[in-house]
Amino acid sequence: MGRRAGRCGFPAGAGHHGLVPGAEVRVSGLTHAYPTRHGPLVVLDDIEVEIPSGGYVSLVGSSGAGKSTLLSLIGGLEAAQQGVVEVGNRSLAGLSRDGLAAFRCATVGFVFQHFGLLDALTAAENIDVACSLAGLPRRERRRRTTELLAAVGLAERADHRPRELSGGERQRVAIARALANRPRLVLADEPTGNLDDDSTARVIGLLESMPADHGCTLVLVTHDRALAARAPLRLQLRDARLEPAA
Amino acid sequence: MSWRDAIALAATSVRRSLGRAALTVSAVALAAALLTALLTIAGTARTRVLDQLSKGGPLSGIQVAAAAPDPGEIDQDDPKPGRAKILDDAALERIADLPEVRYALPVVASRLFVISPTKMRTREVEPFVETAVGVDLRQLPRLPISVIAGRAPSPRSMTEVAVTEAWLERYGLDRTQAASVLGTEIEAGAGRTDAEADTGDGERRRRVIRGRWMRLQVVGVVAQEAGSGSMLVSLPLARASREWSASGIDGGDAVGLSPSPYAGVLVAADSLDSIGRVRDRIGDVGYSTSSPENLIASVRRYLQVVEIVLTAIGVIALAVAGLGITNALLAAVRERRREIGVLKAIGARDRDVLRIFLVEATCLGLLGGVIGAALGYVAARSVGAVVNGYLQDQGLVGVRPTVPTVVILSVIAGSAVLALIGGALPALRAARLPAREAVGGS
Amino acid sequence: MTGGRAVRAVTIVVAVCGSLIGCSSGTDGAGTTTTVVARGSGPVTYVALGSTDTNGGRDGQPLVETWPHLLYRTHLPARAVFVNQARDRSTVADALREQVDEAVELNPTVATVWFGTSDAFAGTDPEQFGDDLTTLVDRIVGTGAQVVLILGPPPPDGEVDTVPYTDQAEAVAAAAGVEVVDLRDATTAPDDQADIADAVSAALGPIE
Repeated sequence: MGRRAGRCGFPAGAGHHGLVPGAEVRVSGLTHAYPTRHGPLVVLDDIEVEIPSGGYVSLVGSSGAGKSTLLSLIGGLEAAQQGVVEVGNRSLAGLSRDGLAAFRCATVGFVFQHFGLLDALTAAENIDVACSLAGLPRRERRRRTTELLAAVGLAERADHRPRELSGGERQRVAIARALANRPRLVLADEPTGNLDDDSTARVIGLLESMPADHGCTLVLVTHDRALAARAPLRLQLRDARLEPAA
Repeated sequence: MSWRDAIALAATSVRRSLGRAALTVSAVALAAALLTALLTIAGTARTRVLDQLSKGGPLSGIQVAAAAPDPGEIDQDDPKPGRAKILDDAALERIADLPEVRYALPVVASRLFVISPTKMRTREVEPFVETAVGVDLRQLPRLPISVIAGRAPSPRSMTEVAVTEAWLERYGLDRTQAASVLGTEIEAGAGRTDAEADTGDGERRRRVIRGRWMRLQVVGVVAQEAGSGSMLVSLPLARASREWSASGIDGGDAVGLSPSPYAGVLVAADSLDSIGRVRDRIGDVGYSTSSPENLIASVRRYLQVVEIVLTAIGVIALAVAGLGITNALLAAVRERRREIGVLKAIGARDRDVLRIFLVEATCLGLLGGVIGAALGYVAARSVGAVVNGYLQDQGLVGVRPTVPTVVILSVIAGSAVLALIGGALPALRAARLPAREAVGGS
Repeated sequence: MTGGRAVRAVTIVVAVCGSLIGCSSGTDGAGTTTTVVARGSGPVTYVALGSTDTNGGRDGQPLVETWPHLLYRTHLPARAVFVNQARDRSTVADALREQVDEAVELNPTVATVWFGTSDAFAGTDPEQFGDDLTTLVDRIVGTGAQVVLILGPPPPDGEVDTVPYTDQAEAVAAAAGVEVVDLRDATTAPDDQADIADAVSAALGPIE
């Protein structure tokens, strides 16, 4: 059974109920600057990187080094000013805002430091929104939501709103939501930045299981070098340049 | 994102900021209530006034004078008549046969010498000459006559008279004392000029005014515009008096009697819209006319303007409420930048976000419109009850303000549309937010 | 009292009571007398024919205070119409030319006739006066009107002798069968306008 393109409209990866081939990421000549009162601030300078399909990459760097910017560009949250970003053999260059949205919908799952949950919705409803955007039919959405909540160990908290969940539980819901559209690429931006050690361990465990259990490529941005060291491929951003981490 | 999901998300957003939503809805509701009440009141007033005017009764009547039209006064409501002209049975018949004439009632005027009764006196009043106006009182509802006290004379009575306020003023009485003159008996005599016999001593023939006297009982006090005169009598009485005066050797000239058999004709057109045409035709027959035609047209225009102004006031109020929605949603967009970014990050397109915010705005407007229309309905009925009480105290027919369904639906729809317009800017702003807001802005 | 006489008595009592029902006082103005309130519905027209004495010329009263007007105001029903045809210094011959035709056209219900003094001043032949008066009275009587003929007093200063004329008038009245109001005796006859009106009213009887 082929995977439906769904509402996203962006060609989805093959496979269903099984491993989704992770998206290969290729970045070449990526340069990005932000305008400031004192002139453009270059945060990425001629970045080159290749992340294999199903790979697990950690990215470290000091605060303001451009880690989130690189993640945004790879994830299609904004368009690159200069250079090429290819995900799953598709270039993001020239995509419209709707095109980028479709790309994100079909390919990317995000996990944010701030969890990114909608406060007015329950845990299940947060996941359901992502399922809805992915174009899943209503009955399928219900099934998928239940499945994902169970996968992150929060089946019994389905009807709880974010303010009724701990930080770790919120992040687990966020992870479940990130998986709703069966992404080929998961981008986690400081996912444990607001968590205690126990929650951190649990969340990292879930994230690290993604390449193996879900077949997706994982890019983990963290300032925690210990966490970063667990990734097979370790990169760091310094002075707008990307280099292997020590 | 489907409309259903957008509505669900919009509803949860409203629930999240319930206080702000309640204030916004209240503003819309108040504006909608104001618009509903104003439209209802204006519509009721217009309907009532035009109903009265369009009945073809006295208010829309045409008064034909025993005079030719003055070319310089053609379009006036109350033109100065031209030279005097005989208005007789033949002319009456011609006028009655004109197209779009519903009826034509003749007015007979006679001049009477009146002896003041003691009972009516609060001041000394010398005998005076007055004009008695005679009309077919069987047609009273069609006549420009309103009874202030008592009643109008019986249609065939030769002994009854109704007097006007001008008559009361002679005796130092005012309208509030009208009832005090009822039952009073007055003496009135129609004068006729006779010639004295030649005495044979060289004196020339001397003219004498001979009176035909009647005793009339005042049965009512009226306001009448059928003719100029402060006495209203039956047509037979007026005719008898007039014939007596006209039989004199001068045709009644010495007593101020007009040579025209009829002092005027009261004409009713088929409808308000035909008044102008009927007046023109009567002018072609050769007589001067007056009617509140321009006044009626002015009243209609004025009512339309009033309705427009009231509607505009209500719409302005709604627009202000719409601005409130804009303000509230702009604040919401500012507060939810990251949330909007996250939505986009997980796959929402710009138009999905636009949809959510437009639905939110429309829901606020719709809810406010429904509540406001209901409040407006209650307000209009309450105002109607108060006005009714006042009118009935004044002895007038009351009004029943009805709230047309189209007004209710229009107000609700209008509220929703204005809210949609008000929500457009915030929705566009939200839609244009970059997805990068999800990771903390640019 | 037998049964038949009792019934007649009751009938008379009822009739008298009935005639008293509806009595009302007169309106304002000179005098307050009782007048039978009109129960009839037909027109009542009173025409006065005469000369200076009927026209208010003798004492110079306003017309509306002359005895015919008082008669009309206080003794006739409210629906009555009154026309005073009298003219100053009118003789009967004048009246035949100027008063009678219109009086007949008015179709009077009640008529008063008073001539003599002006004819005396004019020197009319009494017999001619009588003939003319007969013609006049007959014409008025011919309309069906109730006629009262007044025999007036002589002028106070005795300028002329009115006796021949009043005698003729009396004879005319007798021949025509009309009521007479005799004012010839200046010592006993009323000379006040209201009193004259009362005397004429008494001669007319109730008018309904």
